[in-house]
Amino acid sequence: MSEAPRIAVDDLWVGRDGRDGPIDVLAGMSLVVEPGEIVAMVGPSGCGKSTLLGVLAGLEAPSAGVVRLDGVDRPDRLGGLALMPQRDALLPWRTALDNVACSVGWSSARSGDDESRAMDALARVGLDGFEDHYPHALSGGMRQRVALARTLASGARAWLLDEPFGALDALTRAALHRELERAWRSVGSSVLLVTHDLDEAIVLADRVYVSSLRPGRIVAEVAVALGRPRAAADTTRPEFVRLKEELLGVLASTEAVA
Amino acid sequence: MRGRALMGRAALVALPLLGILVWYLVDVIARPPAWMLPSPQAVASTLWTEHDRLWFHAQATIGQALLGLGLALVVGLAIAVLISASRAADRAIYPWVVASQAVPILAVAPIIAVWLDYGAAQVTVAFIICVFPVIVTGVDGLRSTDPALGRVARTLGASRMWVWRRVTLPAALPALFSGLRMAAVFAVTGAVVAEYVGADRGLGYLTEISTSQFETQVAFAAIAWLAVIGIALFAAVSGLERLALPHRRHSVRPAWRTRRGLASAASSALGDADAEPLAARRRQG
Ligand SMILES: Nc1ncnc2c1ncn2[C@@H]1O[C@H](COP(=O)(O)OP(=O)(O)OP(=O)(O)O)[C@@H](O)[C@H]1O
Ligand SMILES: [Mg+2]
Repeated sequence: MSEAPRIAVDDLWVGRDGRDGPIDVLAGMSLVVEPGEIVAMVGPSGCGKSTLLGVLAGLEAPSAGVVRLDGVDRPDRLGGLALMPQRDALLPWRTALDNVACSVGWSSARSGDDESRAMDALARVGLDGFEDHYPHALSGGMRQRVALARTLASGARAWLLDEPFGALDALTRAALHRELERAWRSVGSSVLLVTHDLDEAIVLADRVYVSSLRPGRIVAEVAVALGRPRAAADTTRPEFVRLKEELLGVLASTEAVA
Repeated sequence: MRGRALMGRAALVALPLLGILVWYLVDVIARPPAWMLPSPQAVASTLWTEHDRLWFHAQATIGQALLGLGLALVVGLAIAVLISASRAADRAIYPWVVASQAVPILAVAPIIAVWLDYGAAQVTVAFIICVFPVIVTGVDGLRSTDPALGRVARTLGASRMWVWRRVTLPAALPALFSGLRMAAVFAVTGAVVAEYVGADRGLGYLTEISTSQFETQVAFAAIAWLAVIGIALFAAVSGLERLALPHRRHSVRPAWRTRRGLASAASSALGDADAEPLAARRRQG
């Protein structure tokens, strides 16, 4: 590939306070996300996936390692990559529409254009009709969808999604997979998707990274050479099943190490 | 539902009615002299006959309390912002804010009355009493923000200033309003205390003078006014809170919260039935 990777993580170390002094949550994590690529990351709970996304988004400095965006070392990345956190982090005093719109135009005086972009994003995630609801009046899955809409509408060229479909039923989840793929295609963005669901990883991603627990680093990388668009029905195809078994095998071995 | 609401209302007025009844009975049975305990009827008729005099003094007290409260809000909020934003200010100022409350205001009021003119002294004492709850609840509120909210906004491109204005400050409002409600009631107390020690008008001044002149029924009437003023200020702050934090009472944004909603509310007031903000936006979009 001639273009520089959209995100290139090189030998990243992040320490956290543990019971017996500092522990390395991420220990030599390296990965790349090419422009226009969807990359999934799976790994046992607590292996540092959310921590990685926080560091990539620029919320936290690593103790060592380099993060390059489009080939440039960018220690100050805030605002360059849109993060959808594991918890929705919606502003309770703003309606669903205003929560999405705040990532479109960062001012109080929004143009009608910003507002219709926010409306479109809400409609994409199946929430038209709920734009005037406050977050407390939405279900967990609906709040997650508002957060997804906020990320998709942000205009950032890379999205960091932390278990974006965790609280959804199978049908809504499949519908949102299609919407994410469509938004990704139309914007041409790059996506790093953290998930616990192997089917989801294979349906959406071009490549899947598997991360290990303590030390948190990439232990396997599996390319998904299936044509797009992929459907829920594809999950029973032999290639799909083989990929899933391969991932399950790697995951099981990381558990054994831990 | 309706029955419950009515019961609630009835319970609300039951207590003061009971108090007045006891007062009445004491008056009828023990027959204290009027300068010691005027009868409820006497006080009621004083409220009516002395209305002009009471209103003249009430205006002074209301003005001083409001000024003190307003100043406390502005200054207290500024200090709270400073303390919550800077560690140095937290260490250098906050302990003194707390320590200052150990000095009894009753002891300080006469000195302030010596230093300042009538009026200014009352505003100052009201300010001193009110500023404490504003600072404490302001600091707590400004520190109570869920950091995740601001962090996410930052990753989506928001500036530090945006996060402060649109995340930190709104998150502080519920706590701040609790402090303001307290301050609203304290403001009246502060003004009255300062009127005792040096003033030429005000309900506190009126109470003191009329007591010394054995016009106890006027003092009682003035106290009734003070209670009403305190309650009204408290209610006003609560009303503001409800306006400022609609998400606490509503699931869906009320029509008056949108600019277009305001317009459609106005047009519905003029007889246009459709005042729904959503529908208004749909037509636009
Ligand atoms: N603020 C913190 N202070 C100390 N340790 C932390 C903190 N946040 C996270 N950790 C630790 O860092 C490790 C990684 O946490 P992280 O949230 O990144 O895991 P994760 O892979 O996202 O897990 P999950 O799949 O359950 O969301 C965990 O062991 C956790 O205990
Ligand atoms: Mg996580």
